[in-house]
Amino acid sequence: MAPAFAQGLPTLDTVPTAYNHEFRAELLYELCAALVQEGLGGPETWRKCDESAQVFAQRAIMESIGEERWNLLQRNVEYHLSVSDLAERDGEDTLLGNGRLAVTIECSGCGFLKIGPAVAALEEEAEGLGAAFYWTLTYALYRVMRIYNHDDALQYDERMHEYAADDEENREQYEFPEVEKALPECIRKTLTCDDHYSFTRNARRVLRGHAGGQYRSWIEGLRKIQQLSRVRLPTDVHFREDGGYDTIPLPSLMVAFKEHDAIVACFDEESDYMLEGSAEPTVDVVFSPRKPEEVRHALRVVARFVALNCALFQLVEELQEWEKRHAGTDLDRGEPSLRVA
Amino acid sequence: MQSKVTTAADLLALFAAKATVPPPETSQMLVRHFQCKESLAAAQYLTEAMDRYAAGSGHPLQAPAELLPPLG
Repeated sequence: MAPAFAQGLPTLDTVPTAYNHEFRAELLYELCAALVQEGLGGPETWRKCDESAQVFAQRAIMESIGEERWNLLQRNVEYHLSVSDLAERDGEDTLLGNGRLAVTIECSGCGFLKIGPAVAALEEEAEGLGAAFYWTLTYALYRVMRIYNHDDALQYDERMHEYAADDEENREQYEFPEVEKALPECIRKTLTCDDHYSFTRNARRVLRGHAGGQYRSWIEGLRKIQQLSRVRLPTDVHFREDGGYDTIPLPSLMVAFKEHDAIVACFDEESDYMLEGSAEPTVDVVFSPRKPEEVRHALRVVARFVALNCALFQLVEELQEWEKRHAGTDLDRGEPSLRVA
Repeated sequence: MQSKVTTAADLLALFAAKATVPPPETSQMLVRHFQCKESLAAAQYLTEAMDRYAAGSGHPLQAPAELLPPLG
């Protein structure tokens, strides 16, 4: 056998086998600087981060949310906040470019609000108060996040009827959730309100009239949510439109009237395929860390979203506690309309 | 460096310095590679070829005719 030619293959001894380089790392440092300039994170935070800018940015954002609010959100909902220089474009990650970053919040596990007992208690307090509470909360949340409620369930019910009508052979196999029957009477009779402006004005008046009553804490919570939802914080529509997402954001909250009512049944059916496609983020803001006004706008959008969610889940937990305290009492009679159904 | 950071201004100066620091010499080759479209394309072809090799029970890959001139 011929001896190996020693100079035929170059030696690998001098070739590095491990590399470490962070692309566009300057964006991360610019983000960190922007956070510091806006009062998020400081030398104390930096000392805890073992010189990692990424950990610093994460910690600075988390500190601004605060441990108590962080835990409240953790208990009730699954949000993911990310800051990235990439955006989704037709299923592919694409560089935003021009030194821009996008802060997004996505929901992968929605909260649950069983509002039936509270609506019943409010209706018992005064006719129309429960409906006013429900609709005011619904419209406030619509402005800020996707929720799954009676309306989604009614649409699902309608689709099922359409599918059944088109499927003559298997028509008997379709199950219809009968959502409308599962709604409390006070909600059912206000489903098709012709004069929305007049209804909401009246709802405000009814709620104001009971703001000092025994359910003042709920009404205060609702008022806080409503105020936060009305803060005008425009976002860049192109981010979503250009993203080529398959569907609208996943719901952040599921609102049902009973533990296992028709709305819950519809949600269970629909949630099976909610995660199949790509969903728009719940919150998205594009900003340049070099432009303080854009940084401030992005921070305001996130801060408003966090504050509103905290107010919402405080109310959710308060209603849960109230329900636990009143289990087995007169106030736990359930919704009359559901008993009829 | 870490112990010198006592004020927000120190921190801002630190981030500004880190944002402009060039990549270490050991990573220059990697940076050049990622900045070169041809190099990225070559790496992609190589990866795909390796995948095909792994999927094909280790049989030697056929060299594309346009790369190797015919012998003789």
